[in-house]
Amino acid sequence: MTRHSTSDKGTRSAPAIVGGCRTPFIKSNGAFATLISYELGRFAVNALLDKTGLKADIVQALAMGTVISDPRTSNVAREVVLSSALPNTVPAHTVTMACISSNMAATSIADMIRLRHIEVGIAGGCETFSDPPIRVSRRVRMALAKASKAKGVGDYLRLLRTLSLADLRLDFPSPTEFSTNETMGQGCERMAKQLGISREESDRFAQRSHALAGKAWSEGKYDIDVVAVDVPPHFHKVSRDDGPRPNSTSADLAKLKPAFDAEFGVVTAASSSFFTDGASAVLLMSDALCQKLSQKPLAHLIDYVYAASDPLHELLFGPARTIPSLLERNGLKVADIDVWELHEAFAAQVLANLKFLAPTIGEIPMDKLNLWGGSLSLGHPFGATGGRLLLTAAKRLEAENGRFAVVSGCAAGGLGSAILLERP
Amino acid sequence: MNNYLTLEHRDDIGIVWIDHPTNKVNTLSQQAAAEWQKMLAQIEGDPALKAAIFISRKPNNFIAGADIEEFQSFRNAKEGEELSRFAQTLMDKIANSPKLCVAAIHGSCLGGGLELALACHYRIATDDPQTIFGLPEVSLGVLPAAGGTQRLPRLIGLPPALHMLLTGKRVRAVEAKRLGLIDSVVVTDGFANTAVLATKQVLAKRHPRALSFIQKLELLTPLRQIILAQAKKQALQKSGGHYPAPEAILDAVSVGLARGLPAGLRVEAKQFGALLQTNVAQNLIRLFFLQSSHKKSNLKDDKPSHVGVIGAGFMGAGIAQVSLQHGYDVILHDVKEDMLIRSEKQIWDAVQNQRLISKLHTETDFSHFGKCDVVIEAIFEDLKLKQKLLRELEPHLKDDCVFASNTSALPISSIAEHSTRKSQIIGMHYFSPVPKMPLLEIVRTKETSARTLAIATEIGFQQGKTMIVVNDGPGFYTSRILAPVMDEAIVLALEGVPLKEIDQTFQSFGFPVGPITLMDEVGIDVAGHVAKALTAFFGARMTGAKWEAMEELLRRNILGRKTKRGFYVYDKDAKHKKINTEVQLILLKHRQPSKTVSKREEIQSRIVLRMINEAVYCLQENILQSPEDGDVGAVFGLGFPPFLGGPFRYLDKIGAKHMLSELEALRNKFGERFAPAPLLMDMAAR
Repeated sequence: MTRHSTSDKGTRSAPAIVGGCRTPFIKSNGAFATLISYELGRFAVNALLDKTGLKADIVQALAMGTVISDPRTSNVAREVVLSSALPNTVPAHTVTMACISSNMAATSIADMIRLRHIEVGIAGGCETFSDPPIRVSRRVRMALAKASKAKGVGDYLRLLRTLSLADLRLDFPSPTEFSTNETMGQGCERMAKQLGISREESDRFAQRSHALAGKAWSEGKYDIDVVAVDVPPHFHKVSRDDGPRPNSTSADLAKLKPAFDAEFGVVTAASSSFFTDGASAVLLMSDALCQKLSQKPLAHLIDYVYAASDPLHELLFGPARTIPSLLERNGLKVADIDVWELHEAFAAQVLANLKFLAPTIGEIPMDKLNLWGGSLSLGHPFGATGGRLLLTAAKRLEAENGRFAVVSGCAAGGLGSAILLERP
Repeated sequence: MNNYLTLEHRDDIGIVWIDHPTNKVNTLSQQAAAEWQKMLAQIEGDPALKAAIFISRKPNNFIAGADIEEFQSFRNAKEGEELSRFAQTLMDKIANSPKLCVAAIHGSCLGGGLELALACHYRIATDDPQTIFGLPEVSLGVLPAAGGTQRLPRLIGLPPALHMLLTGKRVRAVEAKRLGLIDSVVVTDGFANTAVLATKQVLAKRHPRALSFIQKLELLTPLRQIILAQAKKQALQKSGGHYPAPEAILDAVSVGLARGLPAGLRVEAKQFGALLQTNVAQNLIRLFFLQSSHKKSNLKDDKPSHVGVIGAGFMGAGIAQVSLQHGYDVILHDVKEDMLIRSEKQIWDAVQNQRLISKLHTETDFSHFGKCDVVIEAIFEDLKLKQKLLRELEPHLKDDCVFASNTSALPISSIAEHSTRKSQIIGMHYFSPVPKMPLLEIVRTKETSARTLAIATEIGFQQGKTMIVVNDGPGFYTSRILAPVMDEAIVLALEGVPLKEIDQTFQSFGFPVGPITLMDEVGIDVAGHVAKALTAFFGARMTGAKWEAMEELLRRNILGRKTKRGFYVYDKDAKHKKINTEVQLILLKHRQPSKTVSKREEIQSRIVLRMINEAVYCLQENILQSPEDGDVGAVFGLGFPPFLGGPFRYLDKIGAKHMLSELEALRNKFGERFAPAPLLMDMAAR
């Protein structure tokens, strides 16, 4: 095996993932409904500090991914710092890159370490879909802006008259591509058709995800890294993901109607990831400091690739667009990778990517892919999923005694990410 | 034809891939039809197959129509009729096949292609904008002859079917679904896979689409006759009696619905054979081929990417728009900032696409013109001004930049007079409005290099223009033959012929608008400019009308539509345009009485023969390279009636001798402007 085409990607200088944590992932409008996203982020960060036993004041940066931003906390990472056990002197920034936001948060922190700007940083993400920023229509907003200057009842009435009943409709955020006006589900249907993914295959993969998530939970795989949250104001305890349905069968799934293409669709509600609230955080540290502090790295973040493609026809091909170049420039083959963690936006999306990749890099073996469940079963808090994938990949390397892991995801806008981890 | 049709088995479904081995588009020729017969027999004989899907491998067409070249070879009506019967048999075979036949349509599905799809049992299509359906036969002077006149009304009902048959109107997939022309619209992605899925669904549960109650009612005798009679009236009104195809279409539809499919098919075939022998169809088919042969570029590499446009008027903005829409980066210059802003709005309203508008740069200086591969100027028509522009611009251009003038009449060699790069200067004469008008007249001087010509042609080709290349001279070809038309129209007006009558007489010849209206559209000042410029060179041939009347119009700012007052008054709310009484008084004041009052036919001759005579001059003086170019230029640039085939084709038909004697008669009566071209006399002598 020949590897390390560029010297600075060598293991010695690569930043280490020392630990990670996440909140349970909870279906939106469920047990986390009263929380807003920075609070979820606080739970993840506090638990991470607690678990690693490191002093909070060694942390030099926090980067958090988020997608649906609350305008009051637009730099949500800073609100996490100010509400967590971190000292308020920690600079923080928020990353938004759709469903690979926390992947970007992690690689940014890794770069800061690699370039010796910092030695320790936390990367993660937080997301809630229970309280999305619903807006009034543009025309109402414009009228409201004018109303602040209105004098007397006459002016108000004149402003009111500029509005029609239709203007009172509310503007909900939705997973729709702004540039193409198509939903993620429609984008997935396009890919499924291109690659000829059948309804049966799609349902089978969704069922697999739930079964594996259930198995991982029952085997205690998540016991250490998923931290129980006592949800204020009543402080009831939430300790497990509520997405996995390990007992549902393929036959159950086959009954559902297609959600995005009634005539020829394969994607159903059960083979799509669902709106989820949750947060994740991983701690990255320079190798030198790891040695000094006698911290044992879980894995090193060796290299990464981001790419983008056409948002209409190739919306969710992120893994297909990034994995080949990541492997190639590190001199690796599919067989060298022990752990694959791919974001599961839709069952058909994962299958389409695998099918697309097979002729170029070879088949990614199912017995190395998402063995502890995936976004289809565990849930998908957009900005936090990347953190979960990195953590799971690192923990799986340990559990499965592997060396290399690839974490990859697709994202709105036709974006893609692939990250290479190596266990020391 | 190897591999025109290939069969791929997918479970119990046969996918028939249509892929013409050498052409970019799939067409239906006799040879192709024979392949189809074989393929259908193979499918029918294969017990493993339950269904067949017909799908194209081409990126933008299903089947674009019949092979029209074959149409030209028929010596008599019988041969055309036989071809039609042959095609009908093929379609019948599909329609009556015991196997389910599915048309999976991506890209253009026109003429014979649509007729094939109509014969299938199920139609699925992509929502791509390139997926269009239509029966354009009527625009070639013929009718759909592979069962189209029969199957379309039965599938989508009478009124929409007649509309498509009689106008050649094309519809996109979503509209086609609404009409019932197709059963399903899907995304382009994985289309073959979706077609297989759809076919499996139809196999599992056949669901033939039924017409609605109203649609059925419309097919029944009393209502049908009313609809057909109405359609006939409208078609006649629209064709002005010049085109025989619409009546033939109505005949075939009517007989088919009254006496059944086989009877209808027989009429369809008979009418097809007969129509092909008409002058109209032959002229239209010839023009179809001429248009394709005038839409070509040979430029292989060194392709231009940046186009500069100078002068942000309506014309300049139009040139900028079509350049943007066809992949160019555009730098638009005007000395006036507000003209640039107005142009940006004009372009934005037309394209509505941020990606495209991002490639438009506007400026009041020439700071970005160093990037340009081609610069097209569309500033005011003034020789001194254009020479000055070129002088100022040249230092900003890169060495190999081509400079083109969009002048409509000024000689290109005069514009280039002081240039140091005469070989890189050329004329690109666009027609207004640029995005709509198909013609581009490319004008080369003696000095214009082959590379310059190749680049101008490439730009026109990319912009989708039909092009003629002419040699430099005052007014080139199109403006030069239009000038006598306008001149004669003004003479007639000054003689006291009502303006509307002049317009109507010209239109009844087959032109889309009359010369008086045309002057209002292009601007009376612009028309005057061209007339003056040409008079300097051609003297009496261009000046039948006294200048005084025109000059008074200009003095009073009566310039046409752009000032809301021309020969007509332009009022937004008015339903019919009204004659401008002020103009009538001016015409009366400068009256040019004539000894005789021209009747309708003579009015037509006076205008049209002057135009054709001038075209012959252009050929004689080597402005035109060929009579074909002359026909293409007049039809696609000036709206010369297509059914007459163009001025030269028309001249051939009436005969040089006949035209000569008519001109001589007019010359005796009205003067030297009717002096026949020497070449015409030669032709008549031969």
